[in-house]
Amino acid sequence: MSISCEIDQVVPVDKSHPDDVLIIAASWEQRCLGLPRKMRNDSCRHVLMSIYDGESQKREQNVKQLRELLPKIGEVTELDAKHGSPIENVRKTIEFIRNLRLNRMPRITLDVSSFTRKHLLQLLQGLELAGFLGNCNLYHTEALDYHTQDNDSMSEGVSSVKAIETFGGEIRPSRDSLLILFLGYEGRRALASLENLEPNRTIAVIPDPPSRDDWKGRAEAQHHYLLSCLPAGVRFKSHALLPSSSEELLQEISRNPAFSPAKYNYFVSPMGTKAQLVGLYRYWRRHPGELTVVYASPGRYREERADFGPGPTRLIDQTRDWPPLERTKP
Amino acid sequence: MPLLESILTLYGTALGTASGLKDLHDFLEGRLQVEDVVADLIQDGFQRHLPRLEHLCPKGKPTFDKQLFKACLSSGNLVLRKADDLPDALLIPLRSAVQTPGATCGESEFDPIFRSILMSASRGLWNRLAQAPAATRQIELEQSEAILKQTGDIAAEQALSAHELKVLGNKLDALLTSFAEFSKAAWKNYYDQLTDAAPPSEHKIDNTTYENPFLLARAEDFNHNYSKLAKLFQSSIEWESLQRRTDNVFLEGGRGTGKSMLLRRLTAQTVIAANRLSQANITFESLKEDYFGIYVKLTRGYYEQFTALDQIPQAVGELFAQHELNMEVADVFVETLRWLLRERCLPSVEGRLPLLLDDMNRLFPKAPAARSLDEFQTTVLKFEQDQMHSYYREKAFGNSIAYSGSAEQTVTFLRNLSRIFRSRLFPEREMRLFLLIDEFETLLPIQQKAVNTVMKMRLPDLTLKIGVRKAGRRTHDTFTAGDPIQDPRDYTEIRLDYDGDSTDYTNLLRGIAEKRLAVANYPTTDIGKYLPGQSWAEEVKPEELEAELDLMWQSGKRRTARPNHSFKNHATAAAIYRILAKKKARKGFSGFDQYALLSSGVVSNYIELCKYAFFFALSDELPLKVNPAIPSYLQTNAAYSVSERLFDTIDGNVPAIGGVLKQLVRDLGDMLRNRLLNHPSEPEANRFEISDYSTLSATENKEIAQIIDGAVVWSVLHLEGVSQAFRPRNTARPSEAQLIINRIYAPILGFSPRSRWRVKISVRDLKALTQQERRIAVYQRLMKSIGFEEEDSTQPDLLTSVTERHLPATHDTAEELTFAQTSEPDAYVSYAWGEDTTPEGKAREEIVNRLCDAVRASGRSIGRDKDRLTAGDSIERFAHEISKAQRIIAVISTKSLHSPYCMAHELFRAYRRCDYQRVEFQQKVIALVTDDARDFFRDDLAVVELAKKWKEKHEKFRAELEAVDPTRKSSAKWIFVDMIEDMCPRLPDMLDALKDIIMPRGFDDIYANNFREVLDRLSPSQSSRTK
Repeated sequence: MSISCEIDQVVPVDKSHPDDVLIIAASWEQRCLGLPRKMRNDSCRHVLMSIYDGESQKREQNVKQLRELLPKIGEVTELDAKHGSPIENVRKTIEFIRNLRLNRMPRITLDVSSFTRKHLLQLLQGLELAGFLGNCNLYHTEALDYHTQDNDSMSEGVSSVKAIETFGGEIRPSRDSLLILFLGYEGRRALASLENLEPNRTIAVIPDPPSRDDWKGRAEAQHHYLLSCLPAGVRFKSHALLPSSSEELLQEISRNPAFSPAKYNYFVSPMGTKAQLVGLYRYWRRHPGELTVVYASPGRYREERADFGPGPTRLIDQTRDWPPLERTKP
Repeated sequence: MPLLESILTLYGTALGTASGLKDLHDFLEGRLQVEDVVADLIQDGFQRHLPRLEHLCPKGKPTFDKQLFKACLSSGNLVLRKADDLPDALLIPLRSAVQTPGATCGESEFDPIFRSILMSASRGLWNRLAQAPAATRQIELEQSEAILKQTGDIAAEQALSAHELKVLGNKLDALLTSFAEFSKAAWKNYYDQLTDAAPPSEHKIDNTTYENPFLLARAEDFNHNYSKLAKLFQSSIEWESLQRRTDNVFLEGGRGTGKSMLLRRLTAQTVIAANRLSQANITFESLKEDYFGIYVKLTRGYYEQFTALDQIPQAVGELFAQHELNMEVADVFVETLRWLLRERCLPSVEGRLPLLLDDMNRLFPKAPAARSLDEFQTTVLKFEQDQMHSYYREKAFGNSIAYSGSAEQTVTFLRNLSRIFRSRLFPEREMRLFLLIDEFETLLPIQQKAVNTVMKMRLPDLTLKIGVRKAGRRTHDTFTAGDPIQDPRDYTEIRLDYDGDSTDYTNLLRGIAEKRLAVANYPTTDIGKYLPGQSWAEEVKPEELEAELDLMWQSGKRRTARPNHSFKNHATAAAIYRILAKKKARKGFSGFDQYALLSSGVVSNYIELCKYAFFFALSDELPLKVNPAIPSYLQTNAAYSVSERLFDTIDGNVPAIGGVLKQLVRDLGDMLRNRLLNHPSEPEANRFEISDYSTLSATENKEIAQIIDGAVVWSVLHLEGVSQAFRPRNTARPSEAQLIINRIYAPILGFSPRSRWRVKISVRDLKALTQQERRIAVYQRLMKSIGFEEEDSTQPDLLTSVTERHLPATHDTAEELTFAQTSEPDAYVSYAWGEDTTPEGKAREEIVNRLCDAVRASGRSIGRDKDRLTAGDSIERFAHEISKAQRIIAVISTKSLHSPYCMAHELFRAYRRCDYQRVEFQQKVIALVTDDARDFFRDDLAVVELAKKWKEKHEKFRAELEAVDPTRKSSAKWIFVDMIEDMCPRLPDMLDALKDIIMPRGFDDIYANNFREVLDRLSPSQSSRTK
């Protein structure tokens, strides 16, 4: 799939039919409003809106707006989601779709923008294990900008660094450890992954080309210290908007004899873009057990910095292009 | 073009204007003979590189003619396009000035050496240029002939009199500051480039390869290189007790204390590698060691997943967690065997291999049987892990799946494994299996309980040696209720808490360096030769020191007029800090003893310091194998570099509490720094005595207890005066304890690493420092008590970053760096302005004019639109600059209350930057109210009314913008709209906060005392703050 242009209107998975489900998350980021604003009335039969826990005025404002926008698109069902443990939300999502009793692969539009990384990975995994991910369009709305000019990250502190449940890989202490760090704008969290795991080797992946030309160099600036800890020759790049680019990069790394999975326990810290995260999932589904995904949870998100509204929306991936696995065959 | 002109032309090009350059040239030319400075620097460099030059001239002695060099420099034409061109530009004069009698090679062979010399000299020159204006500023402040005479550094000698400086005026002052910044950037750029990536493993100097002996800093760096580990391992007092074959051991220490190295040294692979250093083909059967170590490094953050899912019953999760541990142990056991068999170290086992394999297969009966050890890892263990992970994944999402693996309890598994070890590996020899578990703290309580149980059982062939961080043991329980493991019956505890001053510790450090230097083929293996110390006389002049000691003496209540000998001994270090602080120069840190002290008992800190010292020296192409001394300025740079890096990572390193801990350490560091610079008799006091330490156990102190415990676990703070029974996480705490800030942070935070005196602090105050709403008030109080700040001085800016406050500056013969003032004003003024010719408008303008005059007359700088904005500058950007200021003087008028710039861009942004904290905002803003707005603050309803008006304005603006830009393409406008939306509901609170702190109200009042109250509330000027 090539890079999608910015879209003005979201088209259902099957142009001649409404989608079965639109899956969206309401967060404190205004970009969660981006996709619904670009959807036609009645373009989905059902809308599943996941609402995160914790106090957040900004999220409440966004939920208020979504409650006005979404009923025009389809019948809305709200689901609670916990930042710390989103798996229950994924189970409810699967159950909801299962109860639709479709005798075909469901048509799903999934807005990946506002899901937390952990949640999105588990959502993709859960849908795939349930056999519902074969016909899904993945959209992403980026923020117009981020407050990264002073190299402060979008979140503050690190509450913990742990393997994501259901994404634990095989650990052999006899092998060395290799940490693949997808770098975005979460300076401290990426560094925390490195410092906590103390891997034998580390690879840094920069979002390059970045989402926008004028963002080039931002990730490097934010991660200056982290990058200064790594020897030359371990900086890789993957496209910020193209999931296949990250999947191919992981493929390339694992085929490189210097980084062979036979020699290393792979750990991946996905602090890059959502498209890179989808790319990571695409790799994982074909090599389950080969890597462990670690997640550095933030102490808190800096909501006070959420000045920027939704930027361009793009179709970043279509699961019908993914090679089928045994379980996803309808 | 002469050198100074070339440099100023370069500066002018960077600045984009030639305006004022002549004044700058005239000023500098009379006071700073750049040709002399660069010639001196080159002469120093020439001496350091002499061994390399002599190597090329076996029959003669190379010489450098300084006068000739200067003459060449004056007559030559230097053209610089960028700062990096300077070394190349100086190459021709240097070639002319160096004689190389008896050279056995062509002239060009000398160029790489000349370039090294010039690179270092160029940096030194930029550094010297960066400090000249700072020195003149200092003189301007002190305005005293006496001080002029005392201040003996180069800049002072060339400085102007106070009168002349005044005549120079603000324009030249600004130029000097800007030029200093430019020069500093050129200097700093070099080190920034160097530290952009990790230091390389080796450097090429001439034709010799120089390995950085300290590159392998962590135990992880040695993985699988058992021979290197054996060679570099330095024995310590713990080593003997750790090897005792029947003692179960908890090896406890903070990060970087060497736990992993000790455990790895016990592995069978390293034991054989160490023996083979002296006896090439020795096998395991003939070793004197009677233990066989297998090393499991556990993975941080990995095991929580087993008990995190509510879909998996707890008992199943706990069983799987143990099974995971079993598989990891099995993996390293097999891996160790494979390695030893491959290296032909276990000939007797080869014949028993099929039986051994059968036994191993039986440990995992559900998995397909393996036919080789290799296959055991790739098939059996993979099968078991696949089974477990698949089960977890399916269950997590509510799918049904049957588990088909061989999960077993750890106790049973280890008992079986130890039997296999006895019967198949060493049936005829008394040998024990050492299970070496590292990072024990990462295990779940159930896994730790299982290991404890095995410890308690005292299996005949198995001994446990466990590396654990402080407070990392979650339970002492075993599976037998009421029968926990006990010290010393079931285990012994070895604590790696090194006292940074102890001989044992310094011997350990010397030994580590000696081995590393020998392995890296350095002929000199005494680390002291590489890290020569610096005497105080190299940092300050004797007369300066005498004067400062006198000042210190007189600042206290003394019986005699002059300081006695004992006082001088105690106070010399502090006096040096004070002299350097006045010069804005940084303290040097060089010499082995300083490095050992800074390392604070953490071996990895010491290795890191050495790594960077060698890295900087080898990058300067210093031939350390011939002339080992690393210049003190490079040692100092390494110390600041490591200090900054480690301090900077506290918030990322320490989970959950990192951010607040970093702030706490910074605040405590500020107090120590202030005390160091102000206290008349007990300045070096990095030892916080907590007399109510036991109150940390109280429920209301849970958060601060978590922060202190976390700080101790991660070696950010050292806990002293606490016996073993009272370790972090223990519910009972002793009544008192002492906390020491890890000394590695001393350079960057600017305090002395030494803990000569104690200061008292309470748990309540520590707690308040971590609470946003109480922090500032307590900080100010403690700055007065601990920091010994004078009553009339105010706190240093809390929000100024550490790197801004304690900018690095060396004080050394070759590269001294002092930092000029930042150009940020001491305060900004926010007011409604514009073309306003009404009487109110004129009055407002008049107030602001006079206010600015008064502030300037007090020696402070003030940021005002008219002065700081030039044509083309964005007003919005200036407003944003105000919002970020440390202090804002807000002139509030009816107009400003309705001005988007004053209210939204300036005050509200500032309020938001204070995280909407009333107290913090009040500390930042000084509010003056003009006559026309006086009534407004008397009426609560008016405040709400104003918020309502803003809301209406916002809604109208939003609706109209939405109509033309529904997809938010005009991001700047939308940002503004969203900000107003955010502001409206907070406006009453924000204005209420201002109401409390309003200065004398009304036009007349404000004039009446010539802004005295405003000036009293302002911090001292930036330039005087370091006095």
